[in-house]
Amino acid sequence: MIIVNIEYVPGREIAEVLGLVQGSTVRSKHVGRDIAAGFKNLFGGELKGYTELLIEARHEALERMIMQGDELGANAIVNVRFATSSVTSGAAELYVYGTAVRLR
Amino acid sequence: MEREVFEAIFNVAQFFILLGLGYFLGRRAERKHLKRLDQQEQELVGVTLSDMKTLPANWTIEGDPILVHGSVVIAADYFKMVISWVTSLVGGRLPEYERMLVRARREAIVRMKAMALEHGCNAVWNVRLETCMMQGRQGRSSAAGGAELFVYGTAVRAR
Repeated sequence: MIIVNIEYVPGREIAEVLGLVQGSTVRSKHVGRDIAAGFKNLFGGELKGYTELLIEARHEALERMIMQGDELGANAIVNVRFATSSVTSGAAELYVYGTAVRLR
Repeated sequence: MEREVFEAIFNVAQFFILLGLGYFLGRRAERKHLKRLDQQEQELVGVTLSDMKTLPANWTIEGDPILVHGSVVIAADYFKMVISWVTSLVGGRLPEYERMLVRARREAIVRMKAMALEHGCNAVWNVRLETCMMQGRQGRSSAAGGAELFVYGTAVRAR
């Protein structure tokens, strides 16, 4: 499955547009990461626990979108966009969407 | 009576100790990070970035394009949060936060370029940046506790 965030796949032609596909997850942190984050809030710097949390969540949201694309019989998803929102102080919602197409 | 005085002194001392720690350790971590960023940006100078949606017409693309991304979550230290609370009373710029966000952006872009390079790509197109602010600690919620920077784009191997 080819995934791109531009509107077309260079060198390939779109045979059929199959529709909007999307994937989302809401992930919350766990206590261990929160304590470490609390310390980091004293000294600044990167919160690696949170970075990993969001990378995992994004990966899962992408997987869900790809699954939807597979169901429609797509071989590429174009114009992919991400949206992140912080839900309460402990959780983040990851939303990814794009247009599923079949390339010739 | 004595106990209350002692507690009051302890609280003030705690505040200044945290402030001092936040300031010195925060500055040190920032300097180290900036040095590392300069070095990494030098190494990744071969990857071209653009926020345009269409690739140049005279480029030939080898292989499939890939979605690449980089993200980082950065915390503000105690000193930054106190300073921003003070500034919020009188208004004005928050240079501490500006610097924090610039660093986070550079780090996220470096990570995205590194991912593109791993896949053998030399250009990333339609680069999009997203910032998501997080709540500050313990309800001192007028200050942001930190920010998540997410940058993504389509990587190609172009000639």
